[in-house]
Amino acid sequence: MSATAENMRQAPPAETGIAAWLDVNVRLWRMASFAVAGVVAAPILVIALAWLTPAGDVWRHLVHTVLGELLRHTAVLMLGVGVGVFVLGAGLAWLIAMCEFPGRRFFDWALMLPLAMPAYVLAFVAVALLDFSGPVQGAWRALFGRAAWFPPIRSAGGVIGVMVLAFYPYVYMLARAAFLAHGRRMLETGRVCGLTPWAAFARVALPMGARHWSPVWRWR
Amino acid sequence: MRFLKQAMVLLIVMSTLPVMAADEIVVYSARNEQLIKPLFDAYTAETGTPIKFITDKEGPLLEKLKAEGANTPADLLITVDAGNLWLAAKEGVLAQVNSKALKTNIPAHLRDPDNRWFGLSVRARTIVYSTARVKPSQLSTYEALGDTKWKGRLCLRTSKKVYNQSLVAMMIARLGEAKTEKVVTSWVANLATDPFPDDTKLMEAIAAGQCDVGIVNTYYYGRLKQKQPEAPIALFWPNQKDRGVHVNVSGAGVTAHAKHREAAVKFLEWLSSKKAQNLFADENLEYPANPKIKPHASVAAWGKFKQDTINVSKAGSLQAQAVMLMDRAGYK
Repeated sequence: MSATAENMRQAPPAETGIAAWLDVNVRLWRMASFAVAGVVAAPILVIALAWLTPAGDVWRHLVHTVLGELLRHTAVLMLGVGVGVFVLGAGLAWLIAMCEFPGRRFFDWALMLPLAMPAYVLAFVAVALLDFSGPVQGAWRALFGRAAWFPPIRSAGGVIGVMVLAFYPYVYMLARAAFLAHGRRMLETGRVCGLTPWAAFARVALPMGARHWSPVWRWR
Repeated sequence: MRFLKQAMVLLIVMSTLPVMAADEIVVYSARNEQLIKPLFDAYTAETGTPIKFITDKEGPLLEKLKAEGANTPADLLITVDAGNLWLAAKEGVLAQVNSKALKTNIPAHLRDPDNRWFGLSVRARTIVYSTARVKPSQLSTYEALGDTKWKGRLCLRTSKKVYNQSLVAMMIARLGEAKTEKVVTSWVANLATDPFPDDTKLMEAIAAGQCDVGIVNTYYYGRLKQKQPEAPIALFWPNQKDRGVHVNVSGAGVTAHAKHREAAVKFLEWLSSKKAQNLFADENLEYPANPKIKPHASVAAWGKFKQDTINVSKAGSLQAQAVMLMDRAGYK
């Protein structure tokens, strides 16, 4: 009796065994992943929980005074930087991957270099150069008079510009890889079917590439 | 075997003895290393007491002291701004020190009413103006910078900086909240451009012609003038007919759980003495807190002024009120 049971246990149908083994392991892996993720997320959770600590009247004060403007600024930044890195990153990647022009091979890698520049350093440089007391505006006023208008660098537009220049390489690298991977064949098919170059870019290359490099598509 | 064990215990105990016996002092400092290191070196050379220190921003240092509690190695906390010292005292990390020398050397308004911290150098936050476009006779008080004649001509540093929070807190203490809010609102209406991230940028804007008047700490003015002596800006001492110029301190307090309390108090007393006061203040072009000590010649050249003698701890107790007031006034 016991021997038979033993035999049965030793020789279960192969698929069931692997499936069960995998099932247990998947659960283990999942638990382990959550444990690691929990440790990694702990500092962020602490900050998130700190939102609960200010007293109710502090929150009321913030809502009445600065919160609306801060949220608006955040939204403007997200939108502006999002659109900016998309246009600059994907546009440059398209030119590098699909077009031939003098200096293309240099720009191919040089356009990734801004990755090495932290955004705040770029911001310091931009303000030092482009603010009212900086050399650029000094020369500008010398040329066009004291009242000559110059776009203010310490503004939403200035922040968006600096952050786009600091962060576009992420989109550029992924888009470049996607365009290169797909090659020209699909595009040429599109052109043969009567699409203009712009339409081929918009209706063939972008939708195919998007899943590779757009964070929006990646999250979906 | 037993002998070996005993020998080892003895060795361990002995190895800890010199550490406990040595009269070293451990300092946590929010003041920059290059400003405090010469002081420590001078004190060690004079007394033989070694000083260990770490520097960081005031926030992390305070959190560190709180987290370490009774186990903290720190004997002394050095930090800038009365608001920060007030907060450290409120959080209970500083101990009372009853020292005759400190009470004599440091005026009452520059130290904690409960003697948990003592101002060691004075920084005046005053008006700076363009010598090309402003006559000093046009200036009078901080409040008057809200006059319509300064519309589009005033530059301010961000209200996020504790120096401005302290300035407004002191105005609340002197003028009341309603009056202060009116003044701050009128400043905001006169701004030539968005508030600046630092005092130096603000003065450069005045020199370049973006605005004509502003409010800065004097040592930033001193540093800028050392680099650009020809910069067309000058200092003005406001409110000389009433409360005086707003002053703040950098200072120090002995920690609540100091392991070398006596040595730390001695060091603090030395810092307030003639020998150390110039070392402490001059390096950063500040004013000595001890009124008997003359400031550095280039600082003295900016002229004598009457300082507001309200206790600087008000900068701490009214800070939250000041921040909210500036938010309401739209001072970013």
